[in-house]
Amino acid sequence: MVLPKKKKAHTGHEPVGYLFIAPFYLFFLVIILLPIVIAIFNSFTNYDLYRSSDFIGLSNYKTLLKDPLFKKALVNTLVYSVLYIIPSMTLGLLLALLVSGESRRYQVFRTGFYMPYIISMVCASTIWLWMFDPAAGFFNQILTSMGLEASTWLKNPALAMPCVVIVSLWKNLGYCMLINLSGIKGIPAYLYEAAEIDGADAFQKFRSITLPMLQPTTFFLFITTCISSFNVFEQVNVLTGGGPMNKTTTIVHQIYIRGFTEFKMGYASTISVVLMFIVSIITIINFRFGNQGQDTDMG
Amino acid sequence: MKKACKLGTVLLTVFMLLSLLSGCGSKASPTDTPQESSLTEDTASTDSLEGTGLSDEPVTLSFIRAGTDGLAEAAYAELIAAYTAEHPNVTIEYQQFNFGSELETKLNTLYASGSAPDIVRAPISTIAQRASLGQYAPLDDYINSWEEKDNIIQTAYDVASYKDHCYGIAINIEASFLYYRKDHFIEAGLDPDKPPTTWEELYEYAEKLTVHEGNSVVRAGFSIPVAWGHTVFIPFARQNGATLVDVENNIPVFNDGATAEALNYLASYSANNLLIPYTINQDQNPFELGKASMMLGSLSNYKTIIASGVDWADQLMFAPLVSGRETESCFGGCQIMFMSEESKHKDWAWDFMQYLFTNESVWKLVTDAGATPVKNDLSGQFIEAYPNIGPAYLEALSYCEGMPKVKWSALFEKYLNMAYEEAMYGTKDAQTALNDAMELLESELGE
Amino acid sequence: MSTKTIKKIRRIITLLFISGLLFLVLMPFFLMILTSLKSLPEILSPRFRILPEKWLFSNYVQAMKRGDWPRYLLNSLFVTCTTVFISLIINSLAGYGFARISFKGRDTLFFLALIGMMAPSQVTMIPVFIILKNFPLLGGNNLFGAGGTGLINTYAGLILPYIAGPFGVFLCRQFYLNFPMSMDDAARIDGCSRITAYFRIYLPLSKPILATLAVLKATQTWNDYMWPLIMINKESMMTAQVAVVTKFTSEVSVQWQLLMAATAIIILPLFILFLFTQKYFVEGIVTTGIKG
Repeated sequence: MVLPKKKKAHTGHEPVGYLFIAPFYLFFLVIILLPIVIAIFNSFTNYDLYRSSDFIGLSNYKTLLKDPLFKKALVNTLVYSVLYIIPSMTLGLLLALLVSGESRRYQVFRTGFYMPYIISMVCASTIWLWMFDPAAGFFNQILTSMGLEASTWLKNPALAMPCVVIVSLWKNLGYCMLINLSGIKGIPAYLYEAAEIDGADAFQKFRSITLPMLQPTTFFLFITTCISSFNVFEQVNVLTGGGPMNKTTTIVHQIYIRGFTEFKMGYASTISVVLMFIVSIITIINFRFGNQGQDTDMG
Repeated sequence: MKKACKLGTVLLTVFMLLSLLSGCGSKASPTDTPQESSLTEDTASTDSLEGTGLSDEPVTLSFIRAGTDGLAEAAYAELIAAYTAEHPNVTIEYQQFNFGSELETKLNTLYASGSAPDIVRAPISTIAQRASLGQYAPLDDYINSWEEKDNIIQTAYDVASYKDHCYGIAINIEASFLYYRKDHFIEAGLDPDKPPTTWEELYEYAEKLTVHEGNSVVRAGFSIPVAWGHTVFIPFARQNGATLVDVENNIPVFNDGATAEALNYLASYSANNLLIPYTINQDQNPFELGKASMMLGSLSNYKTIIASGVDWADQLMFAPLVSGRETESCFGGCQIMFMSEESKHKDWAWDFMQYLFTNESVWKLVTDAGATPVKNDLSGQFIEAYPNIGPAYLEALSYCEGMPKVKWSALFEKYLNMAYEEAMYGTKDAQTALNDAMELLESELGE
Repeated sequence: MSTKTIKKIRRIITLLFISGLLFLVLMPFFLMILTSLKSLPEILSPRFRILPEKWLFSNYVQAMKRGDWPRYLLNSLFVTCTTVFISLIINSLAGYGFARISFKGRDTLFFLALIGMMAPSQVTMIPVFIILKNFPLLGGNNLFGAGGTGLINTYAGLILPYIAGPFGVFLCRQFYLNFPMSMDDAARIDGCSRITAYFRIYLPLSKPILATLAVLKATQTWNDYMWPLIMINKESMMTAQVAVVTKFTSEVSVQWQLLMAATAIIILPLFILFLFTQKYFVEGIVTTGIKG
């Protein structure tokens, strides 16, 4: 039976779609989804990474509500996310716009800005640990040579989180830039040509062509940046170990501490479930109200 | 420009490839034996197959070692090679990992999935948890029928005991003592042959030895960490008579006056701006970088300093940490050889462990890898070989103590360090910090 | 001043700004390279000098002698290339499916896939490890997955978790969303099935996103350290990233000069990959194939 075609084709059903997603989904189900289900199950137990795994109902969740370290971690993670997401997205877009040209020098710029991303987080954190060293780190050397007071940087409770954010920004700049570049590349040139004929200047072109056409890209970037900043762990673990005085401990850092050093894997799974829940809510809100890129008809 | 870039990249790649290839050609892989091994087949490996019930069948033992020091790696590789040469049916798969998250991750995944390693060399901090979970095997029977039993120093058994069973033997006991710089002492007008012997003297000396530039410290007098300092805090508390944990009744008791006094003492260093901030396990102690005059260290720090090739190594002097308080105590981190309960080749694992604890093997580890002499027979030899550091170490060994052996020692460590950090940063006074930490720990344990 | 001069001045200012920013961003790299050419005592000395006293290129040779580096790099290379290759295929197929085709439960399935990106690895790594260890009929396991070691110490065990990630699917989906509906309509009118439409029309236009995906996936896989640490027990299967951490850092000392040298060497393949995919990120003429 052939249904009349609608403009917004969200109500059709073509089973061939399943075929397209099948190869990926098969791997995904076994390697990604199944362990998540196991982890969710673990959150209701007292799994200790070895033998015991007794069902204890909601007891972990009740403990979580009273856990002061988790509350700290939650606040820290939120602070980190706000401090990180806004600059990284704006800077990423700005850079992509600036270096999207064709000439040779832009190639150098693009490669240069991408470099921090290709270092592993472990190596990057090591280099930055050094630069932040209170005794003879690079930054303090510069400060003292200019006659200013040296700082304790990562050991300073007020500065520790901003320092971690700076390292993350530095490292992931290339990623944001790259995503935006591929988005910009996909914008048809004739749109700009038409605007040019209409007498639009650079700013107007940006506002009415670039920005709207980048919506799917921006949406992608926002979701992935959100997820990765809520899941921040590696840099915290290497740079500050969660300190000083738990000022930089994050949700995943708590998961790691509880699960791997205190052997409370059941409890750690509980924290993960809560984390996934929070991030899902944010994502759903974005799907509903954000513009993820509709099927555009240039008609 | 394009050509230059491409050329540059090509040259760079060629250079990297060349270093790779040269590394390939003459690599000194851990399984080579570059120098004359002091361990050859004629050394008295006291076991032979007869009468031990060990079969000839091919056996693979997996051996996981905490610590990635290259010198130790080479020494162990040689020991393993010599052992497998004598027992050709045995293959030993050897891996080493960094302390901390690497090791814990690896061990946790192996135990959780039923692939337990046969032999593990791990720090003492793991014993309470893993022994009570049943991951480590009790070795009492093996040890009691061992002829070398009494030759091992008693501390090596004590640290590896938990609830009346002995789960391993310490192969390395890092008793800590005072390190100090002769040149700094002379510079500050202090007598290098008279190291401090009381808390007050220690503080006095530290004040004289600290160097400031403006408001910041460029050379710390006595370098202690600002965070994660339990290995410093615990001995000072114990020196003052505190017990920290009541092991009998399984409760923490560290908010008493003696502990608070010790913490106040340590916090005064920070309060009076005598420290370069650093965190144990994350940063290197400024002393090792030449930026401090005194520190608490063990034999491994000595190895580090020598290995880094600095030019002031000959200015090092050592003394046992003497406090002049209630009692003497120092911290003894230990590395213990454990066997897994799930191991399918326990007899062979024990055979290998025995081999590692022969005088020759232990001595080899001492000379090659800076390990500690855990055999009574070797103490004389040790002082002879290391006249400068030997006496201090052996004396420290006699009164060293490690972490309290309770199942929740990881939690104890966490909350004790929380109080330590708060006091060092001056956000709370010592007693309040300890009280708060006690409360949190008790509420977590209460569940 | 004429508009041309104003434009020129603006260009110069922009260029200065970018160059300045680039210098700041690359500064840690310069530090890293310079450190890799110093000797350890020099690095640890209280006095900090920017340039090395003696340029020790021998550090690079020394670093490569620590262990079987050609093998480690080969392992990393194999795992990364296979991952990227398979990912490009299955991710673009799935991304296209989610973006252009309507089917029951599509959005739910997509959201479920996104959840896969939200779970922290610390809680999933042990279940994944157990699943791969007990994989039926592989690595000495019987039908129920017992008895052997499954996919531990194998390339497949390393590759599977990387290709199962939904990141690439998400990326491709967003890319394919941006095409006008009229393209699909035109294809259908011409009698193309969805499959033909994909291969004939969409795939040729997918170069930018495939290049992006290849670079990102390669970077993430090459740099991953946790998973090879868990999965591999044999020295011969170790990857470069794990080797860097275990060979040069120890509880005794960190051999900064060798660590930095090895890191510099490891970065190189990704660097070259990025250079070669440059032209796909360049702003240029994009034809939609519909108009004109």
